Amino acid sequence: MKRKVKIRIKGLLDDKWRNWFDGMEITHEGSNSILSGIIIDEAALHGILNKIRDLNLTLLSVNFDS
Amino acid sequence: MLKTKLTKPAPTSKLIFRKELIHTLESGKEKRLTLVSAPAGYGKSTLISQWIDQSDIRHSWYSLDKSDNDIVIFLQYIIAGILSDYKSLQFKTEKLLASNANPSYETLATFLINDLLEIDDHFYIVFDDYHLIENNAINNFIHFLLNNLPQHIHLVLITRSDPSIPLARLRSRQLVTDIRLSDLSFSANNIYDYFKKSLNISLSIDDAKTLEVKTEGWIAGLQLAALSLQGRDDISDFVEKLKGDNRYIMDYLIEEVLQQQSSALRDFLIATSILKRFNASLCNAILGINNSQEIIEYLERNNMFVVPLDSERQWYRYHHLLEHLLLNRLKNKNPAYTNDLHTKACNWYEKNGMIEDAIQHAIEIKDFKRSLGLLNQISADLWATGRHSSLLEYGNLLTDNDIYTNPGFSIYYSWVLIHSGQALKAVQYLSNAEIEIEKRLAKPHDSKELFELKGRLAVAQAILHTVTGDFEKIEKHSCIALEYLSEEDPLWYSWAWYAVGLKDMALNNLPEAIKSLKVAVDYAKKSGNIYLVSTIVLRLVYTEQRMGHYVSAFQNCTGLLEYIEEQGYSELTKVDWIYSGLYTTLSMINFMWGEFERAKAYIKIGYELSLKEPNLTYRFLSLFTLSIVNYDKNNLSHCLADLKQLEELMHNNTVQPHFTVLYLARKGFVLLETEEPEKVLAFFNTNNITSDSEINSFNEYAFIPLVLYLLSIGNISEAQKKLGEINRLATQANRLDRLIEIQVIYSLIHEVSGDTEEAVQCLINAMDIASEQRIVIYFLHYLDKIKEPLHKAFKVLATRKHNVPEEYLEKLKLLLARHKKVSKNQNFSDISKRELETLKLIAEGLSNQEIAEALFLSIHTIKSHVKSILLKLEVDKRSKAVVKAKELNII
Repeated sequence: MKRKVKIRIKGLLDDKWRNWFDGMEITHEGSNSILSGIIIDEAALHGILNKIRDLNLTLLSVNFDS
Repeated sequence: MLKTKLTKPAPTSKLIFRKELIHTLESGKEKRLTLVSAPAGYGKSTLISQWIDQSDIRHSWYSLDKSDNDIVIFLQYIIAGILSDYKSLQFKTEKLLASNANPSYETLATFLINDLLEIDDHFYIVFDDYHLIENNAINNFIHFLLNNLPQHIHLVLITRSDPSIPLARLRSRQLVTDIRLSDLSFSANNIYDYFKKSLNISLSIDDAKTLEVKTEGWIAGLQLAALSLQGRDDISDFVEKLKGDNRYIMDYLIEEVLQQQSSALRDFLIATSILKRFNASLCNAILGINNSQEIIEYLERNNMFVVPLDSERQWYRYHHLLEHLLLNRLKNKNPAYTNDLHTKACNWYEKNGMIEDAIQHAIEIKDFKRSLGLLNQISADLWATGRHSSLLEYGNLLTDNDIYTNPGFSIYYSWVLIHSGQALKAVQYLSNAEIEIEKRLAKPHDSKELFELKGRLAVAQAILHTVTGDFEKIEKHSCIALEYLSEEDPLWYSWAWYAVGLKDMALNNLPEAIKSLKVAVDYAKKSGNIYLVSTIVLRLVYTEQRMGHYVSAFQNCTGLLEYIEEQGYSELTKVDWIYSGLYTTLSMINFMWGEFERAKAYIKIGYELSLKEPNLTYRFLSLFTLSIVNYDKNNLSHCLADLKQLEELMHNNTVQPHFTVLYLARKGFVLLETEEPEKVLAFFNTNNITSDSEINSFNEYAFIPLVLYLLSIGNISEAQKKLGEINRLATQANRLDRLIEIQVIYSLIHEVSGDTEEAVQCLINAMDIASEQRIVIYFLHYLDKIKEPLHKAFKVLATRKHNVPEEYLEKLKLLLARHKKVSKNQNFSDISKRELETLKLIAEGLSNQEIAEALFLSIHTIKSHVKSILLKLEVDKRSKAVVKAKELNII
């Protein structure tokens, strides 16, 4: 199921990582970064989370827009 | 197979030795699992590698990547890893993998565990990057291993996230050593030591503390920081700047590091990041340079995140983290540049015969034509080595239109689709493959190869239609298959004959089915594929069973068991669900022969195996057989409960129409025993089993209970009419067990009508047929109603010449005598008080003489008690009587 998601991570992530995260928008909020965009299904979401893990980024929150 | 995946990475010399952690590992050495779970760049692999070297641990090392999600590949690597240390061992698991049958993870694990028993030292199987495993079958497999491994075999899982395996039970049994993030991350002290000892950089305590906070003890971050610091004097300045920068630390550090390198080296690093592994020749090829060897050596010398993959130092990879960082930089470059790199890598791999790597690069740049061209070269091989999930995965990546023009790939891909329950998806691929092959045949061509392709395609189509149930198409395609394939291709030839057999079975042409299946078995044996042999033999014996050919079915069952044993795989029949069919058939045969204890023992195994079956064929058959074998006139509610289970199975799933008939017949028989005529009638009516319904070769069996019902209400003429119709069909099809039952029922009818002579003759006819197949059950089943004519039949046979062997008659008489006694003793409850006392003393191990003395009786009396006990309990030995009596709670 398609959903809009906002993923908050610690640290300022450069916009150059946009393609790496399947084109998700990268914005900054204080000293944190927010990845936002539409994910097509659960598997895509887990793919993004795996990428966050693989870069040793610290995950702060995952929120969905209804 | 890539040897590099099985090489333990050498721990980089410049890293400090982690004494406390090695100590933790050492003291947990006896445990079954060592789990090292932490994010990338915390030194997990390095730690285990150090431990192995330090303690001289016998091990196999397996670096996983995504392609290892195919359980067949996964096991092949495990085995190859172990065999590279134990060269003289032979693993039976290997042959199972190549059997094209997708054995269950449990079967595979059972065999691997047996194979591992050959190893006598403590042995550690290390899985690096286990987080790349997404296939649950592999998680289940590892879980099964963890619970069943012999004491001296240990697993080490290195992973970025905890595996999807329940570990609570193992942890509570103290069988797991855990190494986690908090254990691995560097403290300020560690950081100070690391810079000082490994890099000869003196940090101030404050700088070390800042680095600890900033990097959170992350080793990869510290290493990158160290690289940036090399040749710098302003250490504190650098650390201060790092502290003040909020960017993702790796972005910051990689920038620093790359800026210190020459532009040629920068280009090299970024370009080669597309390679999962690299050697100098491959790097030269994609960059158009000739000094890659020097560059790689420089990188290794300077600790720049390259990991050697073999002891000859030919193949390397980047540390995954650096790979990601570099790859991201490449992503921000011109796509044409990236495409060009992949194309060159693809070319190099193809030239060097590493086709699967070549395909990966072609897929990466979405060059599907090229991918398929390459895939055609290896799909037969992927199929033959059992790598089905790889084929499925490639199929998913490619577009339909591209697949259509590649019959080679289509055939194997479809074959796998059909066998993984996606038959409908295969239809389009196969019909397009057919068009494509015909096109090629119309042009000048290499006939041998194309004919083989056409033949195999026809086999796949025939097998496909055994699923869709289109018999004409099975016939058409199997004819083509037999024409274009030769005996030199025994595996496919066998499949073709198997398809023919399945068609005959579906059309209820059982004698033809038996012939085809026998041919199929012969070729299957030539192919040496155990699963194929088993699959076909099981169909064969089931068909023989339906024909009433119990002797031959028995020979084929035992033949299969012997064959499997000769091949050294006897454990297989105890764990793999397909052998449910074997034990179910053996149970039915023994039941027919009056060997009730054996029948019960076999059906127990058959039923338990069927519970593992993903589809329901054997579940149905074993439950059906169970309801017959465990049938007890005195416990009808139990029988009805068995049938209820069958009903539920049929209600929730579509089963073969033939199964429905079996069920209806069985239910009819049992309902008749309940002696509630309204219920019986209602059951017949709702299932369209009436005097007016049409009887044919498919449904005839369900009408036998109707005949019995008609007799029970005194409608003899109608009963005779229906039985006549069934008899005609059974005679036409020559179904022996049906013919026997019909003769027995005829006898019963004649007996009621007062024509004893004819009744006796019918029984003699029945014995005539039954004796050849050693069948006795029908005489026992109808005994109450045919007692008189049966008695006379024995007399008649004693006085005149006949064809029924004496041996058979003796056995029948013995069973009848036992049956009479037992049915008199309902529920074994009328074992007399004296007999019970005797039984208890037998259980205590007393001899007849001792029992006689204990009970103040003559030994003669005791002997007669014992005889009577054996009869009542249906056993042939005193020891068995005790076991059975305990089972029945009599003593």
